Amino acid sequence: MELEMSNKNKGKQRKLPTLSGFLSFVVALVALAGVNLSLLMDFDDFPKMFLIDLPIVGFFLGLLGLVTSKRSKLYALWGIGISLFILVFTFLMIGLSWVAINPKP
Amino acid sequence: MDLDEAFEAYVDDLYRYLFSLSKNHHTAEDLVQETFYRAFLQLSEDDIRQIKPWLFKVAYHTFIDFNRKHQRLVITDEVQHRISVKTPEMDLIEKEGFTTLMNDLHSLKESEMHALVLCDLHQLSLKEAAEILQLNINTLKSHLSRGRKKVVERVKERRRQDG
Amino acid sequence: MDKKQNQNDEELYHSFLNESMEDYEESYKVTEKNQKKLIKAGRNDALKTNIMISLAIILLIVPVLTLSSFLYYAFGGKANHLIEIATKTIYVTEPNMSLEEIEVEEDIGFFTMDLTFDVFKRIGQEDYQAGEYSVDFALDQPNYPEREMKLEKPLPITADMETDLLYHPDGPYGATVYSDWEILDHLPDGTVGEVYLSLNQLMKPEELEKQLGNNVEVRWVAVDTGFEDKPLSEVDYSVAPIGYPLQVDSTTWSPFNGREQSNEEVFLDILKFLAKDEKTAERVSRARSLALGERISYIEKNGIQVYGAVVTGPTPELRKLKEHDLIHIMKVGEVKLWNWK
Repeated sequence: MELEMSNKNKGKQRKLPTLSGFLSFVVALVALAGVNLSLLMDFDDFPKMFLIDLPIVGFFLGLLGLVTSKRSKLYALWGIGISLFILVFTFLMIGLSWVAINPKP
Repeated sequence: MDLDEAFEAYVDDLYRYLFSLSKNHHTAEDLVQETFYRAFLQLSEDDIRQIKPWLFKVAYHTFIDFNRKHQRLVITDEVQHRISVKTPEMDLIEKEGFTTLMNDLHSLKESEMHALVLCDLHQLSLKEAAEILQLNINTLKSHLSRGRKKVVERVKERRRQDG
Repeated sequence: MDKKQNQNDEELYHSFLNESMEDYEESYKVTEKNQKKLIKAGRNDALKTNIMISLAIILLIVPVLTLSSFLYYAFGGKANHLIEIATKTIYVTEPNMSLEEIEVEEDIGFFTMDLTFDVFKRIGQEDYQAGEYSVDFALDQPNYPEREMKLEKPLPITADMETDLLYHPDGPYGATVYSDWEILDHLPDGTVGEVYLSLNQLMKPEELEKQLGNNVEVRWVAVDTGFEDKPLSEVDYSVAPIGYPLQVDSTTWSPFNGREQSNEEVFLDILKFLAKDEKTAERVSRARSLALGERISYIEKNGIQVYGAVVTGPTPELRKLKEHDLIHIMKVGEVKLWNWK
C-alpha cells in the first residue's frame, strides 16, 4: 500500500500494480535479454552484470514486491522466477563447463 | 472495441456487486478495474458464452483474493461514514433502505451473504451463482433459504421495535 | 398456518428487497467517464502484462535450450565420453597420428556439440601439425568429421585396405604396388622422412623394432586382425588397418603414457572401449566399418602380430632399409627438414 501511486487525473481509484514487483519483472527481463544476447553472439566472457548483479536486484525487488503488493503478485513472481533462473543458469553453466564437460587440469 | 462496449454495460453491476461485498467505494472501483484487468487477461483462455456470469465470476475471485490479503484490515470506516452521510433523512422516511439491507447481509454467514448478493441483489440464476461460488445447487439453495430467513427475522425484529 | 407464514415472510422479504434495490441501483453508480476509464485501465494493464509475459517466455527459450544442452552433455559425463571415443578412435585408426587431448575444444549449441582439435605426426624427432579435425555431434550422433589436412601426402578421407599404404603379406592388395625407393634416393640427405613399411611376414612388434635398429623410430604398427589378408569378397565388411603407437608418449593425457599398462594392453583396452560405441567410432574413423568384435577375439586368440609399420628417421637411414629382407613394400609419407639429433 505504501507504494501505491495515484493517477494524475481522477486520482483515488487508479492504482498501479505494485511498483517494486513491476520493476523486478523489468529488471529480470533486461537481464534475460542480456543473457540471450551473449548466448546468441557467443561471447566468451559473459558480462557479469546480466548474470549476477541484475538478477540479484530483480530478486530482492521481487521479494519487496511480494510483501508490499496490494494486488496481483504476478509481476513480482515473474521477476523472482526469472532472476532465480538466471542465477541458477549462471551457476550451473560455470559449474558444468569447469567440472563436468571436458575438464582441463 | 466491441468488447469494451460489452463490458461497459456491466460496469455498474460489477461496481454494485463489489461494493456490496467490500462496503467501500474506493475498494470497489479498484476491484472493478482489477476485474476488467483479469477479464482481459483471461479472454484467450476461457470460452466465454455469457458475459455477465463470467464477469461476476472473475469479480468474485478478485474480491476473494483481495480479501485474503486484507483479512485483518478494517476498512469499513469510510463505509459507515458514507452511509451515514447519505441516509439520515431516508432513515426517517424509509426504514428499509439499502444500508439496512447491507448491514443485514453482512451480519450473515459469509457463504449465505455471497449467495444472497448474487441471486437476490444481482438476479443471477441458481445455476450461474452455483458455478461462481463453486457450490452444488442444493447447497446454494439451502444457503439462500437460510440467509433469507435470517434477513426476514431481522426485518421483523426491527418492525417490532419500531412498534 | 406454516405455509401462510412462509408466504408472508417471502412477501416481506421481497418487498424489503425491492425497496432496497431501487435505492441501491439509483445511488450506486459509476460515472460514464469513469466506466470507460476503468475498462481502459484494465485493458491496458492486461496488455502490458501479456506483453511482458510473452517477452519473458520468448527470452527464456535460448537460455533454457542452452542450459538443457549443457545438462544433457554433462549428465553421466556424456561429453567426456564422446570426446574419449573420438580421440581414441584416431589413435588406433590413423597411422602415426596423435593429438593433444588437452587442446580439444568443445562448443555446445542447442543439443549439438562441436569438437575441434589439432592432430600431429611425428616426422623425424619433431611433431608437426598434420591437420585440424572437427567432429560435430547432434545429441550423441557424430557427423563425419571434417578434416583439414596440412600434409604433402594425406591419406584419403575414406580408408580401406588399399589406401593406407600398409599391405598384408598374404593379402591381395599389395600385389601391384611398387615401393618408393626412388623417391628416397632423390631426397637430399639433410631431410627426415616418414615411411610406410609393409612386411614380408607377421611378427611381434618388439621383434620388428629390434630388426630395424636404433637409427629409425617405429611410430605405429598395423596389427593383423584376420581381415587384412582376405579380399573384400571374402569378408563382410570393408575395413582399414588398425594399429597403435609403439612409442610411449609421456605426456599425462595420452592413453599411451606407459604408466600402468604397456601400449599393447592400452591398445586392446581401447578396442574394447570402442566396441561399446562402435557406431560412433566408425563415424569418426576413416574406415567404413571397424568390425571390432571379430577383431578383438582374433587378437585375443592369436596375440598381437604386426604386418606393417610407420617408421620415421633420417633419409639416409631410411634408404638403408632397402637392403632389409623383412620389407616387402615401402611407401613414402611426409618429408621434413633435418631435425634428427
